[in-house]
Amino acid sequence: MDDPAETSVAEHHLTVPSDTSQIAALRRDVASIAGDGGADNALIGDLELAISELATNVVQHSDAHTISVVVRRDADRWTLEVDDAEGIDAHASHSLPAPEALSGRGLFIVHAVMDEVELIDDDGQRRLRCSKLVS
Amino acid sequence: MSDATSRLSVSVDGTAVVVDGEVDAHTCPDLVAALNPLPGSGDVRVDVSGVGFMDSSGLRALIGAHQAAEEADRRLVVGKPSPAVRRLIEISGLSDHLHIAD
Repeated sequence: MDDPAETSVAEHHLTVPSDTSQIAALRRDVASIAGDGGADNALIGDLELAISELATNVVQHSDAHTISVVVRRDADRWTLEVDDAEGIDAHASHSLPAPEALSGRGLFIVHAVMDEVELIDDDGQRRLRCSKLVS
Repeated sequence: MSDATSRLSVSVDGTAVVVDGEVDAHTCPDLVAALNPLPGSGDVRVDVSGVGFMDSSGLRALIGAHQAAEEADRRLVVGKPSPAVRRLIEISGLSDHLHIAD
C-alpha cells in the first residue's frame, strides 16, 4: 500500500431487496467498505449520500426486486455502480432544481458529490456508474 | 451490532421540533408527519443537530414545510445543522432559501 498506483483493485457486490428499509444497510456497507479502503470521513459521507439517492431511485422507479450495487476501489478512484437506474433522466439532471421544487433533487445531488456520473445502457438494462477521484 | 434499518426520532414540543438520527426515504414519513400540518402557531424551529445523515428525502420534507410556513406567514427555521445536513443544504443550493440558525 506504499505506492497508491500499486493498490490492488477491490470490488464488492451488494444486493438487497428493493425496499426503503434496506437503504440504511447499503449506506452502512458502503461506508464500511470505504473506511476499510482508507477513505476519509468526507469521502465516506459523499459515498453514503450518493448510494442513498441511487438506491432510493431504484426503489421508487424500477420494477426490479433487488437493489444491486458494485463498490470498486481503484488506485485513483472510488466507483459505485447501481443496476436498474430506470427513473434517471441523464439529460435533465445537471441543472440545479428550483428552490421550491419538491423532487428531482436526488440525481443532482449525486452529480454534486461525485466527479463522474454516467448512465450505461447494457442491452436494455440501465446502469448508473459514478466515481469519485482520489489523489 | 448496530441496527441495519435507519433510525429516526422526531419530538415536537409546541413549535420546537427536534430530529435525531437518519432521514432517508424510509424514515422521512415521520418527519413529514411532524411538520405537516405545521405544529403550533408562529415560527417553527427544527433542530437537526442530531441528524447524522440526511438525503433528498429529508430535504423534500424541509422544503415542503418551509413553503407551508411562508404561505401561512410563518417561518420554518432549520436549527443547528450538523455537518452532514449543512453539506446537503449547500450542495443543493438552498443555503439562501431556507432559514438556518446556529
